[in-house]
Amino acid sequence: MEDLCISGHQVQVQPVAPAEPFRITTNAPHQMNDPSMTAGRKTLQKWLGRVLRIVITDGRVLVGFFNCTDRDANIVLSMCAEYLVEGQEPRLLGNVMVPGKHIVSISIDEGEPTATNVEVA
Amino acid sequence: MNFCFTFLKSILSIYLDKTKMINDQIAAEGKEDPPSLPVITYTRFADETELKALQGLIDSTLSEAYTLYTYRYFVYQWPDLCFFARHEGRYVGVVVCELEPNRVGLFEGYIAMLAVDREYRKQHIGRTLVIKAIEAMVAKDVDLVVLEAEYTNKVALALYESLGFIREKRLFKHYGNGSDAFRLTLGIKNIMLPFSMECCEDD
Amino acid sequence: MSGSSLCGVVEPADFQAAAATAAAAAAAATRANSSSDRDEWSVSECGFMDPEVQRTMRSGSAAEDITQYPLRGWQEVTGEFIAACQELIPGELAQDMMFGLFEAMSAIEIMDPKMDVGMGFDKSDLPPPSFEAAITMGVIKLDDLTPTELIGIFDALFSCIVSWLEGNSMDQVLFTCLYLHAPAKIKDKPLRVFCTAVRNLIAVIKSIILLAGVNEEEDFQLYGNSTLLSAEKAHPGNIFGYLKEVEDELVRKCKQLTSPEDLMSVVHRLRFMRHLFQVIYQVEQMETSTGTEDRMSEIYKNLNVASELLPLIRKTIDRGTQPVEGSEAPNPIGFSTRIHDRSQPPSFPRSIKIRDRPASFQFLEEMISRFKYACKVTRNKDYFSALNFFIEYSKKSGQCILSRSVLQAIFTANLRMVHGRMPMKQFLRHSVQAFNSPPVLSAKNTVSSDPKVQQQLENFFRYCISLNTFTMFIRICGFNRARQRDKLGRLIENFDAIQVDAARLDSFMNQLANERAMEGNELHATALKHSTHFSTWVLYNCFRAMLIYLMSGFELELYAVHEFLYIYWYPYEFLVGFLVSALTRTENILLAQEEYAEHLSKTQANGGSTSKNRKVAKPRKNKKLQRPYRCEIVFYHALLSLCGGMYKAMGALTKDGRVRLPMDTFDNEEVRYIRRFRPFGSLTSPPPVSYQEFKSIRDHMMLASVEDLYSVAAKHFDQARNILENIQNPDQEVLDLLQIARTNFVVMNVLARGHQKDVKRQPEFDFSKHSYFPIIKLK
Repeated sequence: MEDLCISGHQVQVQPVAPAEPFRITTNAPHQMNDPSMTAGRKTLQKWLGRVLRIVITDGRVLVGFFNCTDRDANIVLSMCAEYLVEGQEPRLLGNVMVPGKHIVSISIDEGEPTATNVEVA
Repeated sequence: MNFCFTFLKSILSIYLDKTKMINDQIAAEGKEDPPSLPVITYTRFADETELKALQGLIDSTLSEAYTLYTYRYFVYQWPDLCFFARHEGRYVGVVVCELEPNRVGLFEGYIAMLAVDREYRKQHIGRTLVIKAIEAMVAKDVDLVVLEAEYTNKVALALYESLGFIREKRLFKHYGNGSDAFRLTLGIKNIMLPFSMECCEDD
Repeated sequence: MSGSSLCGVVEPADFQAAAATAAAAAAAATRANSSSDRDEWSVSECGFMDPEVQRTMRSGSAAEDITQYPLRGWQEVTGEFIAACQELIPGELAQDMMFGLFEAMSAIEIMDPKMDVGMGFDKSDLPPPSFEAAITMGVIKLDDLTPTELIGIFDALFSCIVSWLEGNSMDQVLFTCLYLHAPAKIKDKPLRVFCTAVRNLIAVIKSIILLAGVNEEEDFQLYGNSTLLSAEKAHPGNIFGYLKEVEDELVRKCKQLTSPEDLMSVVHRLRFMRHLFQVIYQVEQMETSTGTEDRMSEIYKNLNVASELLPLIRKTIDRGTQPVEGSEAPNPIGFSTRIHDRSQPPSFPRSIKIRDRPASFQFLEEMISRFKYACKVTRNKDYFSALNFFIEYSKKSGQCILSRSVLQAIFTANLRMVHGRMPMKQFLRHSVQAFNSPPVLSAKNTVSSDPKVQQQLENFFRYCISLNTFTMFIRICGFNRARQRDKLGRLIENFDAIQVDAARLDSFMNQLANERAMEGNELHATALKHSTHFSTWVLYNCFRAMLIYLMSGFELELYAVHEFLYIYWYPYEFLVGFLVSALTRTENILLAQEEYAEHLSKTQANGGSTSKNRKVAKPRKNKKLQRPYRCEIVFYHALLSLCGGMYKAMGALTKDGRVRLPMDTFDNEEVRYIRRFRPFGSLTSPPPVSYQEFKSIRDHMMLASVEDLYSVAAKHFDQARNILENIQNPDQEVLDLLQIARTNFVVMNVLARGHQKDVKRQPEFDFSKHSYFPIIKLK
């Protein structure tokens, strides 16, 4: 069997079970009803699957379904549309990941539906 | 007789080639390590904090573009198949894999990424990482291990060939830049399905 | 599972299963909070569904058109969002239940230069003009173009066409030319007609490639912006007329000019386009209508004119406006390279290098000569020669998808013309007859009209067709080289069923022979006896496929040096021998049949008498007819020796320590061996050879000393040399093999005599002369 060590140094292998397990908080019903969920998590749960509008640092506007985020607000949108200038023809991008550091603002589609076509803010 | 030999030698001189061996590091097997080689430790992926190191290492060595979530896909689901090589706290090499049943039901391991810092090349780090990964997969009862490697990546191709991988398919224009690739396979178990069952991408 | 459903933590590996269970649980539970901040369907309403199905359903519904949003209004939540995120611990994700990390993997990262094409845009930057905008802005010239300008545009368009044929996206290379968007609006007649022709040409080429069915996505992109393509209706039948009309007008003008060279150059290009178009159009028509014979001669005529025009065009490239140094546009006028950026899928390559003009015309010249060669396929009247033709053609034109498609089109149309309905079945019937002339297929022999015989034959050929094997074999030769190998592998496995059926057919014939003999029908009995024709034919084709499959691995550079040994061993030990014996058997059958037929006709002529005055039979006029496979057989003998030489050479080199072997940590030679020969494993004939069998043969071979092994290898190469030297009128391939045999002979001898005894380096294997056999070079 091939000697796997360089210069005789021992191989160190971390314990198989890491200290903090990887967690995923979802909007599945059983998790939605969990009373022990913190407020922030509840908010995210509520918004998962909804449409977000994100303005990024170079001025572009991205609109897509909110699928995933991590602690640093690296957000994954699906069926995302990219607007160079709002109101003009967008480019459809599909799945998109927006790094938190490039996010200027986040908006969600909410409020009372209006009769007239809503102007984009 | 003499004349023949001279004649033969002169023909041969045409063919003497000064091309350096691709895999001379393997040919140097068994010789003493020079004393200046750094001490490398190998560890498994532990937690989120190592994600940045992983990203940094791969972004700087490989030309493909990956997002943070690509790394998460692999290391969250198969943390025990991701190995780092470290030199005094510095991350100098990594291998990232996955392992799941393939389309025909065989348990297939896939080596997704292998990267070694440029300053630490030619020290068998890549090979050690791959060996560890495969051993971990074998411990999980894998049937075969596969990966793609670019046609021009002679070092990687030689590495895998030395471990018993065979080049099973040539993939024309596989990469975005138009270059070809090979699909490499290492059969661990002697399970043989008919050819047509495994090649179901086309038709 | 039920335990974990109450807490908020889910192990990622079980996520999908958990989501499914959760959905099921929700369905069973009481109607959930209509905390429908969500208008969408609720999980409880639709019950348990597969996440894939849920996702698909969701994406299909009207509310999922993202451009409809916002439905209500945008409310800024930036601060709240970021704060909520910070409650997550490092490594924790908030994730939609129908979403997985697999989807996240495919996301492009915004503001990453490798993935985000839209970044760095400047709001004040004007978008590149569309055709309409360009007209309004007055930056595009629609009339009074000088010959120089025309030549520039035409040549640029030819380059774009070539670029497109090489596999680049239609939008990216062709429709960057604004003139192509709406040619009807162009006032300048030559330009208008030319651009209309190009549009129609594209449409017809697409049709040919689609119909031929040998395209794969890495070869060629069939789809472009459909709005642009359908902007103007296509009338391919009129193009020839339009072009001729303009040509004639310009020729008349030329006569009035003192220096008409520039204008004549324009005429040449129009003329070339006309003839090229005609060729393509005729090929496409062949697929859909009849009258192949006439079309073939037309095609050939047009090809000749086109190829004569090319040198004239190439000489006058300089007369046109040239592309600006450093600009991506193939021509300064009429091209807008970034116009399609926004409509391309996110991962398209940023800029496509369009071939320069001389190189593009070079491509067209080679393509025309490939087309000319393709026309010759009609001379192949049977499967054997057709297959050889396809194999040759594939070697010459492997990369050009249009060439391969054109060949398929011509072949198929010709087949239909020759054989009418069910062309392939008739073709195969005819081919078997041409191959080894079974009496039951010969119209001259009364046995062929026996109803039982006819029924069996019909069944057999129908079966061949239904399995599609023979048709596929020829079509496979139309794919690119890498795909060919994979498809061949599957084809070989399919051969087994046909082998079995052919054997069944032959044994039926033998049985019938006995019956007829008992009935006293000697004639039929003799014709049917010892029938092996069908098996032999099927086996021969199967062996060919196997050899091509195995050897193509060299061409595609799939084999490691340490694998050469068993790759060359198999043809040497078995496969080539099988091929030779199949062909020899066929020759003997043909010989025997001819002699018998002669004997029959003689006895009939003489009324069965055996008078002493009977003349000696005249010597046969054309000896070659007796032995149609002589060349093949000789060639295979040479291959046999070459394979043997390589096999023994690899044995010697391995024993001599000159071959890098894999480490035995994970390597398993048995597993490798089985994987390499996998498609052969399910065949009845030849029976699969187990690894143990190979090992024992190989180990036995390696018992000899290194010097002896080198010497034996040298002998094999010498044998090959001998055979190849005796071939009359050798073609380039034979000459190349000869060089390989001679050189390797020398190298083996030199090694046998102890050259470089103390330095064990792996030799270099140079496949540049022949893709199957390398020249072994010592370093």
